[in-house]
Amino acid sequence: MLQEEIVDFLKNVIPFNLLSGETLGKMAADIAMDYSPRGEEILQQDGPPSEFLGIIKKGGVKVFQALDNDEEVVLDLRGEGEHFGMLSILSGDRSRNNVVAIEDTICYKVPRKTVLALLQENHEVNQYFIKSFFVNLLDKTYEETRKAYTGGTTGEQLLFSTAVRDIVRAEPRTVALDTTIQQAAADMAAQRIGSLVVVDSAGQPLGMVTDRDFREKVVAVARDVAAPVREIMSAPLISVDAEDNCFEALMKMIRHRIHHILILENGRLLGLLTNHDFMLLQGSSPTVLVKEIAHVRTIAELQGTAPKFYKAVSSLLRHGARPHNITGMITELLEKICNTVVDIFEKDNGPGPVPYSLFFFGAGGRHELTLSFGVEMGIVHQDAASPDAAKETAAYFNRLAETLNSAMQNCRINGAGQCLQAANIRAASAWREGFKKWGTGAGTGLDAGFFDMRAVRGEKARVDSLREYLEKRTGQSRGLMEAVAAETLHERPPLGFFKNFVVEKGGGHKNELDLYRRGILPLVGCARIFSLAKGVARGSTLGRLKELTSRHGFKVAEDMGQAFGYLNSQLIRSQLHQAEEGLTPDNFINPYSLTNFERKTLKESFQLTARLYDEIEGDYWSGKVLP
Amino acid sequence: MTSFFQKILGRPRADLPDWLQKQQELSRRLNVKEGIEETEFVAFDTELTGLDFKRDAIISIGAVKLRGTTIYPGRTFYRLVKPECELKHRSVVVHEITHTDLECAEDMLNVLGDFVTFIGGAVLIGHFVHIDLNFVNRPLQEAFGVSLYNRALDTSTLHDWLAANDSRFARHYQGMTLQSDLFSMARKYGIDGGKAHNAFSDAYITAQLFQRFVPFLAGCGIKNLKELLKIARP
Repeated sequence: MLQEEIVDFLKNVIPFNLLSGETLGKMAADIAMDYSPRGEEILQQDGPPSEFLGIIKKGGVKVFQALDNDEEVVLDLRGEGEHFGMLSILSGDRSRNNVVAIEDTICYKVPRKTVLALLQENHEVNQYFIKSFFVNLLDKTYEETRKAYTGGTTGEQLLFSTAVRDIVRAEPRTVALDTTIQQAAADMAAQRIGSLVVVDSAGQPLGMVTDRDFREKVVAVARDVAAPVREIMSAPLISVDAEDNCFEALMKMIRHRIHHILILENGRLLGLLTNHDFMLLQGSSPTVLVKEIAHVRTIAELQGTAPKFYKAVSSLLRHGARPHNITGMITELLEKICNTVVDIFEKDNGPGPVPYSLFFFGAGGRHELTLSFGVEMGIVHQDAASPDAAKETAAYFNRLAETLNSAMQNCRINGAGQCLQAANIRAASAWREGFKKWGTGAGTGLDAGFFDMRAVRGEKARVDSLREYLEKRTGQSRGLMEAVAAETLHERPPLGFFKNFVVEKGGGHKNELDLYRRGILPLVGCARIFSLAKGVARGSTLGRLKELTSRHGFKVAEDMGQAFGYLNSQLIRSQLHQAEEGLTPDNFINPYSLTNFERKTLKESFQLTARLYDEIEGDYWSGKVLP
Repeated sequence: MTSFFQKILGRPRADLPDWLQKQQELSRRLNVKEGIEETEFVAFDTELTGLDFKRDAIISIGAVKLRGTTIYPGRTFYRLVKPECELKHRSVVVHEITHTDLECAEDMLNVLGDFVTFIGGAVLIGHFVHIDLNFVNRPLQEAFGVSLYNRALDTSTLHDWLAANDSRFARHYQGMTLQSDLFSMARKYGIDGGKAHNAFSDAYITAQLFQRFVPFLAGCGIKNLKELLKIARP
């Protein structure tokens, strides 16, 4: 009876699916079934060794280690069909990790004796466990992180290699716009689902209602349940394309703080993804850490956020994240943190005296921040009505800048300098005046990073219009274009033809190479110049390169993309390594610590930049204009 | 008159069959100071021809063993009983056990003997367990003048107690159900009862209900069996 249920279950669980029905039947006779409510500790680090192998039938557990300073390192999240406790069964001395239920969890427990006998009698199962362990152990070292990443075939890359279409299960339930709230709730209850997609008469999805909407918009405000569901639906719909990968879907969900996301295929509703689907997909620790960072609520909580970034990134690398996924996540989280800080500031100081937008420029604007952070921000605000008001406005933004800078400092994610400098807080008109001077001579404060400005708070159009103004002017003014080219060309690639690397000559980073400034930034600059010339209006370097290839037949752009990805991954790995050594990650790498192969690839990237520079010098720079 | 004394005093030991004798000794040795996690439990359920204690009887008994809150799917019990009275139409519809099924069923006392051996000295768990206990004890009384000595606890009482005394419980499961029947509860607490509605699957659901409830007891100061028996009294 129950044993048959167990056998049926195990038939779908690796590696037990390798066993014959008879063996499974025998095994099932020894298996116990346990329930742990969410939050219950199942195994305790350094406690007695596990007496059983836990196989999760339903729910999920978190496997983590507690460090001496009370910090938690999440090693893994395990979901249905996955197991825990094997390490301590084999070692027999103590539990290595804490295992805690993160959902109400039902698990089958295979007694230690049965497991050991199974391992002895069944070679394949033995191989599986020995291997998965070995991999897990090595995973923890940085070296293996690297291998797993460059090898790229560890099979653990689901989050990044799986298109959302592959994990969409059922078509979502829909409800018509005019259905009453009560009827919609009754439908959900009857079908035991947590959400409905609201569609118009043509079946086009318009919005969504979830449990939360009923809680917040109906019950909490005592709304009439006879009202149409249209009144409480969440719109506009947040969706991803079926071809996008799961990571992108997850990022969107985090960004918008939602638990359900729609999957569209050519504008047609294909399905619905929930948090739970991601748990099922693989329950990886990056998601946990990403969420943890995203949910910070007070400035005090930000203290020591940086190490969480390191862990998240390390885990993302292990799961096969591409560099742009990682920089994207770092940027996204910094945006979240900035917004949280400003939220708190506004709560204490009231909203801004004039409407304003906060924006990132430079790497942050391009979604390209690495673990050295160094986010650059600016504020564009409406002109104050009177000189007095202007004074008050300036004071307000100064306080805001102070708060933001000290908060960033506090969580050690400010990079070297101040994130929000006083010079970068201006009224829209003042910004325009400043930009107008660019390209007319030296000392105008030209910074090509402003071509990448992107609003992270407040009205987006206020920032976009400034950037568009810059772009338009570049098209009209040869001087500005030349000045941008000059600024980019100013930083030469650190490589004479086939000679040795040029490294820093003195200071704290003697014999090291600023990989960002001398390797990545030149590529970014080249991509920006080509894009400006061709009118490509994409926000990220990779996006620009992609469009240059696809729309303008730029063959070299593909190489640039590769080099850009390589340099970024090299930088991020080096930063992780620094973090692991207890150092604050910066942009410096020691070329002598690289393997021959890595050095060669690095050289090639620089040579590519050198060729691009030649081209730009020929086409866009007369040699007369200074930045 | 004799039967009255027999009822009070019980029959002399020698008259009891071996299985009953052993069981009576076992259950008397139960240590109620024991922690809940160390205690042997048996969750069980019976299907009846009806609820009339005088006229109706057991059709089947299902049971599953637990130690603490751990269910042992390898240690289960399910048997059909030859009815002593006519199957009623209504119960046939509910249990889908028909007379043909019952032809291969065994005598009540045989089944009860095996059941009693199965449960040993374990504490019994049931949902509205007094009903099941009555129907198990009646034939034992009639034949041997004894009842089960096993202690028993009721998952519906336990649930009511948690509802009244532990806000964490209600919070954890996002509210509680007011319907106390087994299936409403199974639904509420996410228990998959399987497709069959028979004594065994119901016993299995009861065991899982017990699993859902017990983890919250420690927080309410219920640490040993004695206290558990007090709050989950049938």
